Amino acid sequence: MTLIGVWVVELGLFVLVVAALLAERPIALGATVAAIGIVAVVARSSARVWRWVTTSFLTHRTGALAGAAVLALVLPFFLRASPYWTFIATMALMYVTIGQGLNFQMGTAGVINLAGAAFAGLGGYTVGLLTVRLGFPPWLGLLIGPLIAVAVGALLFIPILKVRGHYLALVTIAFGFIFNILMNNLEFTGGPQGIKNIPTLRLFGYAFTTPPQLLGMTLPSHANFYYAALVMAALVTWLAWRLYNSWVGLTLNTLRDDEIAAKCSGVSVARYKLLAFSIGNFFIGLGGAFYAVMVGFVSPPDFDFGYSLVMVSVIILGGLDSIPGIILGACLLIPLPERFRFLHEYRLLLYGAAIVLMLLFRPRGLWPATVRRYGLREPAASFGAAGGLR
Amino acid sequence: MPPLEVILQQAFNGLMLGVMYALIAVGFTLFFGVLDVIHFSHGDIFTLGAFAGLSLTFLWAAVGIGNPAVALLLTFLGALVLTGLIGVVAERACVKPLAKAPPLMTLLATLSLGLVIREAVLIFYPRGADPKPFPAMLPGGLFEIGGVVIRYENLAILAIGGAAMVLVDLIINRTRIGASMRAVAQDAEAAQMMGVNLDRTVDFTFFLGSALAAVAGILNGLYYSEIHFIMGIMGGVIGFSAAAIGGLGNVYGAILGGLLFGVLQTLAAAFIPRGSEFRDVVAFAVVMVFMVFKPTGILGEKTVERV
Amino acid sequence: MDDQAAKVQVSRRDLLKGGAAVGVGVVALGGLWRPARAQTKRVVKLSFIGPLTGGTASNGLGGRNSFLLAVAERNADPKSKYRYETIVLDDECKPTVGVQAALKAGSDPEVIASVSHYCSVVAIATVDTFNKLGLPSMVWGAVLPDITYGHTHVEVSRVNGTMINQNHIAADFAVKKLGFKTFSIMHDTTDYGRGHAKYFTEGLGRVGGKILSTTGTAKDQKDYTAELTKIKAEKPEVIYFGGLTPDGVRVKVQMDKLGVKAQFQGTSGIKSDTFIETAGPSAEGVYCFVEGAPTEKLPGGKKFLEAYAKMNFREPSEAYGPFAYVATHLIIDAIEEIGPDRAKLAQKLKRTKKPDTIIGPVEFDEHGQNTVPLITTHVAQDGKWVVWEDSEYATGKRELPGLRFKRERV
Repeated sequence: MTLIGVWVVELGLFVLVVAALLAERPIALGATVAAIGIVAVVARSSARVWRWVTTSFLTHRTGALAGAAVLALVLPFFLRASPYWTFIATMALMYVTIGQGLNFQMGTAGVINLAGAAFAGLGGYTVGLLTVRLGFPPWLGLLIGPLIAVAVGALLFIPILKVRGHYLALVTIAFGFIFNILMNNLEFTGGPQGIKNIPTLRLFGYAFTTPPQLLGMTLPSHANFYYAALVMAALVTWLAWRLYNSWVGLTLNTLRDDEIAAKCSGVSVARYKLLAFSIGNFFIGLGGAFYAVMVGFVSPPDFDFGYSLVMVSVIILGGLDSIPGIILGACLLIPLPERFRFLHEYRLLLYGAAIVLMLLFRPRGLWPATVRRYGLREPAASFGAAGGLR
Repeated sequence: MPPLEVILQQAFNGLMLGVMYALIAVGFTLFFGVLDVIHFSHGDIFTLGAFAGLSLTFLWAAVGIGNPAVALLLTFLGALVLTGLIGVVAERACVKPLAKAPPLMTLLATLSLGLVIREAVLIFYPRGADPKPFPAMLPGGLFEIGGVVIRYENLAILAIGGAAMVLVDLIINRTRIGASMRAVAQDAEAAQMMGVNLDRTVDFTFFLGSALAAVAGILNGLYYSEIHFIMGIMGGVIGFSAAAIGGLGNVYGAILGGLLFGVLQTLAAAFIPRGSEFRDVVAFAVVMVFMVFKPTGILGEKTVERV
Repeated sequence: MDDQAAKVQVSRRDLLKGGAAVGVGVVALGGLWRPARAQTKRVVKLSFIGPLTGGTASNGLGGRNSFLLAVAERNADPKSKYRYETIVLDDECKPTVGVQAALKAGSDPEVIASVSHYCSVVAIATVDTFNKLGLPSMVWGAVLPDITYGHTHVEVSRVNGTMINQNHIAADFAVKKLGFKTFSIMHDTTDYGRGHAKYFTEGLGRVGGKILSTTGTAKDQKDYTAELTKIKAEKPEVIYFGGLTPDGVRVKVQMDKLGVKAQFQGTSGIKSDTFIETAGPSAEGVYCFVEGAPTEKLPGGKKFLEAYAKMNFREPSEAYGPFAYVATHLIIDAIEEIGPDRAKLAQKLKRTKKPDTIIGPVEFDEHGQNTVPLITTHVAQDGKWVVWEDSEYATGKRELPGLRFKRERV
């Protein structure tokens, strides 16, 4: 019974989201916003409803996840009239991927990284250079891109292991600027024009630029990338979840909260920080590489400081160290400014104000990290438990 | 090897640039020292200071204050107070409410506030998208020493900037409120127990830092005769970088960091082949190298390593 | 656990409330289906894409206003077969945002054509997007050659000229007409600036001008004293700057402050009222080049400027406003002729030909590129851009600052 209730709630939210995305006329948009407002108020003002929702979602976690997965799978069918919203949904999923990586660095390990766009750019540019200049297949680029992000990140990070907190913010800002200026001014990276005509993905001869025919419906070609991004985001989120619940995640949390105490317990701070930084950069680089094959070009303005800030906004607004929070943050922050395009030049102003307001009302993010629970259901995950790292 | 006068001229250019950076950097370092926060909208407060100054010059012209010295003084005073108060409002709105939240929240909140300020200038200042001419209010003319061209207004700008820094130093070290700031910086809780009014001290710190940003903004306008709403982006990034190279929380460090950054950028552009394209690469790379050897800035405190 | 109790209670009123909310949502979704409204004319939508925020916003806003003006004129015209609605989208001068904007425009089936892009880096990025969407797009401001010459798609055409033309004429003008011999080139390292510097260098090579140095600077850089001090030591006769107004203003003003007396030569990017207003007296004697006939001098151009003034926009039209205006009119002309069909329209627009527009005659080549026959030289004189031929500098009544500098130095 409650499982069906969970699905009804999910379906209701889904309807609201689709309506909010597709509403074009002011009346429709107004009604949707009003409906979302009513739902939010009802859910939060009545403690009973909220408790029912949270407890039933917790008891039926698998069912809830299955429901969400089905809805995510059918979303492109509802957006099929609009390649634009399909693309934005794909971007949101890409930011989920990047967000999980950045969150692993900043949220879980407390290693500040304000050069997310640069690491994404390393992934993207690697794909561009490999495929266009050297003729590699895009799949291979998609694999090597993140590795390059990891390698460059490690080279940057090893000498500055002692640097912490806001000083680390400075170093990463500096790295972000250096990356951007180099991409813009070096010849082999294509200068300000970047790299164009990156070949698209192919799966058994099926090019991702052909509009897919599914269940008798023609979807925009962007739906291919939506599904690819869905797989990527789900995989990365699952990995992040496993890592978070493993000894690695726990160790990183300890290290973040009290480095000295962690050292006292025999944790190799340097190694774990480097590990967290590298895993994070892999996910971030993967997101950037995916971006390159999706849009078919990379250029310096796509990876500038502003985008690093968007990435940071996603994880902070969603909730640092909160894996579901990252998903929520990306799915809100990426479509929201697009939704407000009709505001023209007032858009960024109101976007900034909205973030400030959200932070003031929810200073720990929209979906804050919960306190870790031990020994209840899940046995300690096996990853890293063998102690192979130390 | 370029001729000596070119080297000297470039060093002077770097010094001018460095003074502007230093004034912004001092604000960053003050906020960090007292509250342990990075106030990322500070760059846009700097823009706001410049625009407040520009608006005031129109106001004085409209009410018929013709004497340039008086107008300049009033412009400074007005913009200082105005911007200082806006800084306090920013702190009350975005910094204090998040004092108990993780520090990254303050980072995002102030970044977003900066975006709001920047876009507000773009939209609400008449034709705010355009660069704006800033009136010349300092004595014109120039003289030459050994081939180095020095304008009188540059000397005036250096003097005003220097005076502002000395004044801040005096306020911090010689006044009661300065003592409170130092006390809070060391240990907020203990300071409160000793009777320091925390809220007032924090407010004053933001007033002081933001007023300094206004000085930087007006000097920027006077030096370049032009201001633009996006100048706060790089101003903020470099101001923060300068404060961090110097050592966050250390006022002298911030000044040193600002000068260093200005000189580095200028020398890179001047003496490295294609250096102009890569001047920020050089400047930021040097910053990173500094961080390797001095992970808490040049004049920063050493962190205690107990393990 | 009071889970059980909560569940029972929930299934009453709270679920009702939730159901009501979902109902509202469904109603809202229902609102998506537009009831066919009785209308005398069929609605056709046109989109405009340009930078409305960020450093180049003034150009984008000027273009947008000109676009809105053209649409308003056609809607007021009783002869129009359709009623034109507009969608204005911001590309922030960023490729990704531009692609999203183009997708948004193309996703609306009622949008038949787009007037798009001021920034070259965005225009080049959206070429494929417009192609995939099958949405005809006419570029109104971006000058990079590849935007039309780098592909064979039928959807993208351009009403303004490329930078190749402009710079070859600019080099001829400076060397042959004015007799300058030595040049220091500066550019803002964007597509725009770098491209201009490249083609100007090419142009100088053909007429034998000497390049002393080429300096790239960051976009939106504030301080140019280091670069200018270095250039001053090279003693050029002309400093050429490839970049847009904000940076151009800074370079020129700081040249004066450092006592660099060389001639300042700009590109189309600085031909804006803002340049003269902001640079003030420093602007005097600066010259630059814009594709197209001088708007003010053609009869239609005068009408455009008057109509623009009547609309009470907050921003001036800037140098490329007339191009956005012409692009809009050309698109509407074509729609009136062949009807609102994207595919047919794209074919039609690719080979646009019209003898009398406010930018002079328009004729597109097989790449959809307007082969602008005319480049107009403008010079700043007494706080206004004056067409070179009408200026006192051309008649010899005044002397360009660079020429005076050259004469006094010898």
